[in-house]
Amino acid sequence: MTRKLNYTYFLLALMISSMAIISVKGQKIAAQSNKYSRSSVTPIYIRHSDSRLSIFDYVDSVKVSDKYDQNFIGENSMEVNFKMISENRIKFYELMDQSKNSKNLSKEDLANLNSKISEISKQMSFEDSLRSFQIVAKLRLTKIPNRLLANLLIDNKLGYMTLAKLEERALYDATDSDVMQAKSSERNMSSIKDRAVEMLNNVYFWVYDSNEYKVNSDEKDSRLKTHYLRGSVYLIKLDMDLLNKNGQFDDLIFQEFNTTKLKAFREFNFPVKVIMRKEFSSSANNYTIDYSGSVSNALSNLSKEKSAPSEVKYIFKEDNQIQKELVDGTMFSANEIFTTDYEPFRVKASVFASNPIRVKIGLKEELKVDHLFRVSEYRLDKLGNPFEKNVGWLRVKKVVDNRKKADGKMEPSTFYKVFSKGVDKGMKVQYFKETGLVWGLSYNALPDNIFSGPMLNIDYITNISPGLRVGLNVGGFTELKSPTWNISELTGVYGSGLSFKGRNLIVEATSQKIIQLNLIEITPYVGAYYSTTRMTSITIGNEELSALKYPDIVKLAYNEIGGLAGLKFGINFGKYTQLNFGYKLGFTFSSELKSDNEKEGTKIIGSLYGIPSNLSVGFRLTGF
Amino acid sequence: MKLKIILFAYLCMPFLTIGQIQDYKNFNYEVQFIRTGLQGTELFKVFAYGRNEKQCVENAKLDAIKALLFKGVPGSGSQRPMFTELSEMKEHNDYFKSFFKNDGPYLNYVSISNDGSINENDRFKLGNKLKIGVIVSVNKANLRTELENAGVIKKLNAGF
Repeated sequence: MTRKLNYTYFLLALMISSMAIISVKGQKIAAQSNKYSRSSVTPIYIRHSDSRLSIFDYVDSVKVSDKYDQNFIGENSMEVNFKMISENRIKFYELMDQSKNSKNLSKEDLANLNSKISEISKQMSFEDSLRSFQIVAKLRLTKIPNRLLANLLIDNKLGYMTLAKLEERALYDATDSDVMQAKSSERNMSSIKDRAVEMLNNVYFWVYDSNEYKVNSDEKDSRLKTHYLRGSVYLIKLDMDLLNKNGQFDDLIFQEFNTTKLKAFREFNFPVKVIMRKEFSSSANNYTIDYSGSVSNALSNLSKEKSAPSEVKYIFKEDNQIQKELVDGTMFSANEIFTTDYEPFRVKASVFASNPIRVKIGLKEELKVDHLFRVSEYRLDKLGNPFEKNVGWLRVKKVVDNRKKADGKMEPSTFYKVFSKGVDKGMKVQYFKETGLVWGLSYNALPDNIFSGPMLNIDYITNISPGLRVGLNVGGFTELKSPTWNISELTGVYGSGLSFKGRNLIVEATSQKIIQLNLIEITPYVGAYYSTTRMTSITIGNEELSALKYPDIVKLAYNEIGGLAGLKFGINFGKYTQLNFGYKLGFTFSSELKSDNEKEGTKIIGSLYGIPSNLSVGFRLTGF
Repeated sequence: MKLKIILFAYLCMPFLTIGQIQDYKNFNYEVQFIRTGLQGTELFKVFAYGRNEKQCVENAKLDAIKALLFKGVPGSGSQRPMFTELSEMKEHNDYFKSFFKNDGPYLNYVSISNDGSINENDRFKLGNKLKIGVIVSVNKANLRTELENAGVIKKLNAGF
């Protein structure tokens, strides 16, 4: 028996270690050796022919993230002669609404509906490509690229082109290494300024084509409203490659006052290309919760024995604030989407030092604590061809403020391993966009406890402190049997023992701090829980009263609220897999047995199902 | 046991010395001219091999000097090598051995020209070895003076 058990453990250990080895073994990736360089962005908001949106009062003052240089053209809106929402899109939304409520439809009607949706989707796709064509045409017609380039290149006082602005950007973009090299060269910082023209290769427009603005009211309190703005956002690039290939840009340069050249520059049809179109969404509430009021209310209510439910105080926002937040939200949304999908926007750098792991990036690159980075290195195959090999994953531990021009003495930010082989100096690190949510499943193994049963675990990466996460766990759905309670009053009727069977539901909210030791994680956490156990049978003495016989029993629930603390040990097998084991202990604050027919339940001292505690085994399925 | 270690070390010594001699005669390196530096210096990008980053960087310094001395660097002010009489190399063997020894005088004429970082695109792993591109600054003027004074190369004004 012992031998068999040992063999099982051996197999389990072998499986775990081989999984780890397989996962650590990096995969080959096509080499991408282009250097990361800052991009510049101009947001453009399309003003449709039928648009009544108020956001246009705020789009000119919108600010792009620190990761980009912002290009100013004076006015960030562009009028077009098509409608915000086309007839086809309205029809599409109507059909989608019908599809959501399709439970009552017959099979034939459903097939008909789906065919209509498919047909209209095709039409919309054609319409979208036409819309994109119209947007680009309008962008060029209204000479927005000309205005942008004029702002970047032409000195209004001198009346001709200078590279002063772009040189400043090149200096801001330069790394410590660039600066040190420049300083030891004859031309000094001019060698960095030479890269000013290269900055024109990273000029982008984010063109917002909104197609829906709606205001939803809260079901319980109609004063509380949420404004939604959604639509498409186009990533459009100034096509300098084309201009340089044709040599047209050289003809446009004028470095002394020349009205003919200036006119030619202003009238030139600068080429742009659409890189991608994505859906954006932004929302803003018309209120904030007055937490100072709520806290003082809660404190004063604590002193009262039976408190009336405390009223949450709201501070209502002015419309201009809501509109401004909506516009800011559009920038945030586009940045998130494009950073995920567009490689040049994903920050990359090299490891500056390996113990601790340090990289010379920081707030200038919009770095936040716990941001995830992929580490890789270039290798040469037998023929000497380079390929990229994955080494592992890091998270940011400490972020430095590097929002200044490099001087050769910039402090690096610090990183920690979450799943990585040895990280050496010079290896490549590249930002990897996450949703911020980490999903997992766990099973609480000990029976007959309010913590028993399977659970869905959702953790949110807070980006406040390394490894600090908040979690929501929901689960249970398991039949529990309480210990038998001896009630002296029952003696002589059925016997003195009383026990309950029920099916539990448990919700936990936790705050956790992951202590990361590369592949290994130790996670202490604290939190609160709410559990409700719906009764399925009650046993009095030897008599079991089942809910099947006595349906009123189902109306009886055991509710418990408490705090909890726990510790979890995890081992990462890869970016998407972690096996963890843990123990948690609950502290009951209040518990009651309550029937659905009653307003108030019967208070119980302690917990009906014994001290809440359990051993868990779980898998994290997404993210580290 | 001690005796054995001493004996082993003694037997290894000639091989170590041969290694040094062979090292400076090894012309397997890649050096590119980057730009002219300050006060008689030139900046080069050297792709050097080594077991680790530190060794690569040290080898890069060595390779840069070797390139200037024995091979020359295309596109730079040192297209022609400083030492052109390879047939006379044997004559100066002792000098070069001493010049290129570990922490030798060659280090006075070369330095790393950045903040110590390695560009991710200039680092390649090749089996157990590394190939790293490093920007180094070589003080060409002082190097020439040193070699002239040592009589290894002729002075530029010799023969006038």
